[in-house]
Amino acid sequence: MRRWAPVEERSYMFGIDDPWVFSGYVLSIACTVIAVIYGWWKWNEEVD
Amino acid sequence: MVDPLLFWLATLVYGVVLVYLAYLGYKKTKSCSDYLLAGRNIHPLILGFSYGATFISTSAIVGFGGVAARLGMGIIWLTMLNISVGVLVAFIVYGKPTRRIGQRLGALTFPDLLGKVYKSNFMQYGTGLMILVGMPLYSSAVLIGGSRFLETTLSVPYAWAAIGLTLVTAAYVVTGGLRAVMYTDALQGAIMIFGMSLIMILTFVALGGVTSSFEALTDMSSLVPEGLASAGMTGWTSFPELGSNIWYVMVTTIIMGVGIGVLAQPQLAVRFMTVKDGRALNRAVPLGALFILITTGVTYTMGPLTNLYFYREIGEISINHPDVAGNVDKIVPLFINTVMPEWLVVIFALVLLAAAMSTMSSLFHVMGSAAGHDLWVHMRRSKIWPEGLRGSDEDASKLRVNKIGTGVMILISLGLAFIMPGSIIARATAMFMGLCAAAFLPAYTMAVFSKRPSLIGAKASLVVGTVSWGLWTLFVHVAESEPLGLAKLLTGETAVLGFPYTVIDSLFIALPLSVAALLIGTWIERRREPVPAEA
Repeated sequence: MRRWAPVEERSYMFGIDDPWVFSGYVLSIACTVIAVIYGWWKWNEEVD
Repeated sequence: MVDPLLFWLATLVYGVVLVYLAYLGYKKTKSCSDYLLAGRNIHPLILGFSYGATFISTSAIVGFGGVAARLGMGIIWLTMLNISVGVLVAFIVYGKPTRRIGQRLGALTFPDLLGKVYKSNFMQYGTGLMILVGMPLYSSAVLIGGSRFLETTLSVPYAWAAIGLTLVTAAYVVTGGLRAVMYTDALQGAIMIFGMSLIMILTFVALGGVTSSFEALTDMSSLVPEGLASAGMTGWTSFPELGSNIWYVMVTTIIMGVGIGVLAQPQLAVRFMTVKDGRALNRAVPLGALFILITTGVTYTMGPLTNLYFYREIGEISINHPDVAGNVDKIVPLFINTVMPEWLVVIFALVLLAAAMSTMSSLFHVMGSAAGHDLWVHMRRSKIWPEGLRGSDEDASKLRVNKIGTGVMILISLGLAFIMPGSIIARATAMFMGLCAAAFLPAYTMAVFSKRPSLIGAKASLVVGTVSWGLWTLFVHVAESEPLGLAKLLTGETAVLGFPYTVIDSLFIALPLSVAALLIGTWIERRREPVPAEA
């Protein structure tokens, strides 16, 4: 059932060896950065 | 258990500021528009805090934090969806047309918006009724969570905790309306961001740093309990086995169910109508996203890491800790109480209190406006009611009706908090979000984006989404069908279908059916329309 290689064969990213979990963190931070840039970019834009 | 003196002192300071903000809201609430939409001129920063504080309740921190401790960090995808869908798509794509159309039509509530877009009493009454029936389960779950927390932290009897929490929240919701709710949300949101940031930093300090603690947790995958491993769990820093039982639960119920369900929640959608222009919505986006990242990101990271801490300290993973006794709701509070300094435990206690009160106050307000503005203000004209009960069309009369409606719904929520089982907290949250998405999302989407919204399509979508969600919940999705017991009573089985259907969330069945009903209804309506004569 387990799909993981032995500890010594794994590649870690900040200690996380599953790209799905790691990419979840990366995308969460990326979405936040996009939100901050969007808010800053559109801060004074007239809407409606 | 926290030091009661320290906690009550902090609560006193919190209470004084809360009362001041509630008083400000009360003083500025003169009309129905003030009461229901905070006068449509809320500051973007208050909107950002309020949206986040309403979104994130004790359920998200304690309930889903415990789920993360049990099932691992794959739940971080819920944070990603909460930010991308719950903030970016909600504010930028849905928020602007919702605000613009709401202002143009003079809509004051979410059901009012649907009723006016579709020019249909059915849509307003139907949506209002759905809120009155479904939302008390959610508001009671949040109330139960807050009361249980006070009970275990301060040894206050559960009944007094529930009554006290309700009375304090009711006082400012009933008198100050949405303005008081959003002002106090801003305070509560600030406490939540501050407290959760400190907790994340001290968690990594206690475990020896970011990378080393994640590496150590990764290496604990062999400690996953056999029952979870055979159901598809692979470790606390890895995603469950594709297509396994736990994969379906995590993806369809926890991540997608809550992640998509947020788009059509009346208490969040109504906030888009509280600002004066689209620019204010743009300005609220960064704070809303940062709020969600910090609160949920910390919770879903800290939860799995509790396993590392408890394994190092007592040689057991969190769920097997003697004080947890198999109840995942106890893991996060136990970890905070064990690891954090006392002053931070007090701040965490305030974080949970703020999270509970901010969500409860918003739900109370939406239920009250549904009862008062969406149902009673219209139904009072019926001759079945005595003349003295009907009130008038004057603004002051409508305002009074909304206050009474809010009070009644608060009492119903309090009553339910004594009836519902304690283990219902996270389940009721996910159920409510799924129901909202299945029943409201297609009709709400068409209402704000279509130039010719179809009433038949909207009605069909509301009915089909609600009924199919209810049937799947009662008869197939075993997490609900088993405790509810109707399937067992009628068929002798806990669910009428087998795996994997038993672990696929009701939302995944009901939402596509609801969309299909919307499209078919729209097609039928278009076919009935007369063909314009040629010039």
